[in-house]
Amino acid sequence: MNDRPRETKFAFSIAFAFVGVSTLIFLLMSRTDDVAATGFPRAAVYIAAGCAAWACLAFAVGLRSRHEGWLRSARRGIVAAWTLILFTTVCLLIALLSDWHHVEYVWRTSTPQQPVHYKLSALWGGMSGSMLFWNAILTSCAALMVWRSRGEEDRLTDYALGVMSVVMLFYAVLSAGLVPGISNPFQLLSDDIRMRVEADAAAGVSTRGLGMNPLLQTPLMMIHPPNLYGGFVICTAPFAYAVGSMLQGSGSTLWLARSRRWTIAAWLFLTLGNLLGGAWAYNELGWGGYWGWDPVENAALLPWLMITAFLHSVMIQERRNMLKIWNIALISLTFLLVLFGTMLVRCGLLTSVHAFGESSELLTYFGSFLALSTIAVVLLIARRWRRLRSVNRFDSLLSKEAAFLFNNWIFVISAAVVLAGTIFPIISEAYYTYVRGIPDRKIAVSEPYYNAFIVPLGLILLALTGVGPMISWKKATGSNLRRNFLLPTAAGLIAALACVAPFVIIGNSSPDEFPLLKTIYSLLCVFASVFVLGTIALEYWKGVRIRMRRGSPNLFSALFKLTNQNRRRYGGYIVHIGVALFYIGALGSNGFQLSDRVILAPGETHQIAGYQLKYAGEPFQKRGPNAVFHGVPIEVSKNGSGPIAQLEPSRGMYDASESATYESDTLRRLSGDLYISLGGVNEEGKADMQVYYNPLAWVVLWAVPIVMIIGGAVCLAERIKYRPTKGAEA
Amino acid sequence: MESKWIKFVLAGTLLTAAAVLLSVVAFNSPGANLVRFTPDQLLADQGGASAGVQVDGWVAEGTEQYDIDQQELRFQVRDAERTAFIDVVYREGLKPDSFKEGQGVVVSGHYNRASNTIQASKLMTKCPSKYEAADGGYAESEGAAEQTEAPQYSESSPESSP
Repeated sequence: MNDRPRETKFAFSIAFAFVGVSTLIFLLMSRTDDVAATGFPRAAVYIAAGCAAWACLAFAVGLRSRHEGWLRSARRGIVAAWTLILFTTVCLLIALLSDWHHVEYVWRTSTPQQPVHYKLSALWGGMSGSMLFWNAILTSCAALMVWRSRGEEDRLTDYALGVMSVVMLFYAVLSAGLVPGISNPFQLLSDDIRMRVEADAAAGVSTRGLGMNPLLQTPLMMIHPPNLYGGFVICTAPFAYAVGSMLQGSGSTLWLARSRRWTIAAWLFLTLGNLLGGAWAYNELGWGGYWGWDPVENAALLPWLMITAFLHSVMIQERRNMLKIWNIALISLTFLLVLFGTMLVRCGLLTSVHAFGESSELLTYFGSFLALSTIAVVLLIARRWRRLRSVNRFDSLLSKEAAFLFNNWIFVISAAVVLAGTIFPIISEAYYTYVRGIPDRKIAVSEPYYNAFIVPLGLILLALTGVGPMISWKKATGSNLRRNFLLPTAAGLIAALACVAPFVIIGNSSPDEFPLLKTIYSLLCVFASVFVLGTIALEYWKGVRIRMRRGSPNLFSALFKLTNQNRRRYGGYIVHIGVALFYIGALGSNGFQLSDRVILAPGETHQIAGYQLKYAGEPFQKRGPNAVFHGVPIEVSKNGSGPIAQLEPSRGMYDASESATYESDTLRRLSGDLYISLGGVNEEGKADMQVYYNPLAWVVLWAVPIVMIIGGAVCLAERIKYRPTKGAEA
Repeated sequence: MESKWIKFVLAGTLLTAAAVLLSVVAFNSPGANLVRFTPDQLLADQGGASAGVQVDGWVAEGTEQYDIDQQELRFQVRDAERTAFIDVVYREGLKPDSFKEGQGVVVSGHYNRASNTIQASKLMTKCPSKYEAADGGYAESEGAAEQTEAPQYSESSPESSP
């Protein structure tokens, strides 16, 4: 009866063969007529949208009628859509690499002079390319779901794939260019532009393409967007399982087991995307920081907050079969916030700061899908409400359940505050227009709002990071608390005292330098970070001691075995180490950043954070592959010793751009970064600079991402066992 | 059983109330909320302009003065129709990336009505208009059909934390 495995394998072989052969045909044809050849990939996106539509329909019919034939066809539809999108993506890469400037997207995002790796990353350097890339990830997820569920008749995954196919249809329609505002990636250059380009060519003016924005021509921009997009898109999979589970109506926790890896993958990519985005801003924008509470950053942070809350609260459902509705709400909100963030960013709702494209059709399209998805989720939850209600109850405020619940509250409240701040211009504009009758007036909120809120909440969350994993289920006893928390608390207190001690002994702290609130927050941050690290160290030490007794030859093998045996738990601990490190790094580089506006004539010096900066020599000009850099040489020495480094902050004039961009230069040391941005140089050679000292910046920019990757990878390698919990199966 | 449930509801309510209170405090902390105007609206506005404002406009052509010795950037911000002009003085940081005449900017700071001057505490440039200007005007007729979506503004803010 069950011919699914063979069937699926056959479909995937056909898919790979198709991509191979059609790419070959595309290449051969482009030799003779590269304009006509682009017709293939252009059409492929339309057909992909058609396949997704077919999959929607076939799933709907198949799941209702329980007719296996329809389901098989629907699954093939998903594989076909994936194949076609993959083919188009390969073609777009070929087009970018071969500089086909008759394709509008290529003309806009790449020039022949652009280095090869930036030609490749131009795939996500513009609107329609990144939408195609988005589709490529989404369809790959769906195809992977088909592949993984090939073994048995997996009804839940069929339902989830049904949801996936609806989302696929939504995005494939966008990529095909059916909605004004986002064009087909293979749209040809419009006649208007082409004629002007040709006229220029005839007049001897160079006719290169527009080229990618200089700010995007950096190695970080090659890895940051794929991570972020990956995170955004993969969130769809656990959402699809949640909705699929509700549609199926079994009320079991199987969907948690099935979506577990997807959730962790989405979380890991979102985390890295956000961290790398911060690193990009730090390296490129020249203002010495990595996070500015900008709407685009917030749009990426919101789903992260939700999915992190979800990651934690599912454990309560798995263990105690509680919070079922809450979990579905959290993962649905994650998906809806991704959609909402994409809408904010792509439809120009927040044009005030970003001059993104504004297209009312696109807004209507996104808005209706968002509204429909929200209504569908709410109706579904309402319909399954009784079946999803918890059997168990919370027992005590001193329990793991309570700690996780508070963790969830804080994540959700933070998300609400960030969301409110992000859309406040829109809310206030509506208020002024419709209630007060004053058009075009809006109120924007900025960093102080976010900082005043997020810092105290973040500190509570950090403390919970230490408490949650170690406190016992149901009701913690005094001995449980003492055993797990006494030593870490002592360690935290000692660390905090150690930070205060020098100031008490020397007694030179001025109130200006250390305002009361900042001092309290900083000490709490030190205390809580060390407390968290302490609880984890204690837990590891206990585990290792047992392993050593059982005959592990040394510490490392014991550590490895311990982690390997319970990957989920210890992967989580490693991620928590990353969290504590993040707080320490952020405290240093945000809380104790030094910043001086400096003006130096050649030969003059400036002191900052124990470094001496000397403007040594003359302003210089350097020619790069596609830019000229105007800079000044700055010699850095530690006070009292010889020069240790030469920094060359400059302004980059890119050939394809009229205005200059910062090319700041940084001296990276273990204690902190010395970061110099050059504002300008006048005729006498005087340089206007902003100099920053960012203590422990490397912790946030390097150490945390690496620890997160390790922790996330360990969690991903978890052996997922599905055990129906008590009372789960009705 | 029930009393425990009430304890949780109470704790949650308290936490939410604290969060709401905190967000109100946060909203009212110095520099946290700014009324946003276009230059013509600010000139026409009758009240409230002594508070922090955020002005959304363009750098007026022929008005940029960058004095390196004084570390001071002066320019006028104008509206789309070029009818309203407001002086801006910016000393808090470097001239932001891609700042130039005709460029869209968002200026945050304090407005002095008597001298028609904004003392800017923060200056942001909008997405570089390279798609419109820097390319011989090929793309002008295209409007906003294609824009890159990464944050393309640059920010020049002296401190990001209190």
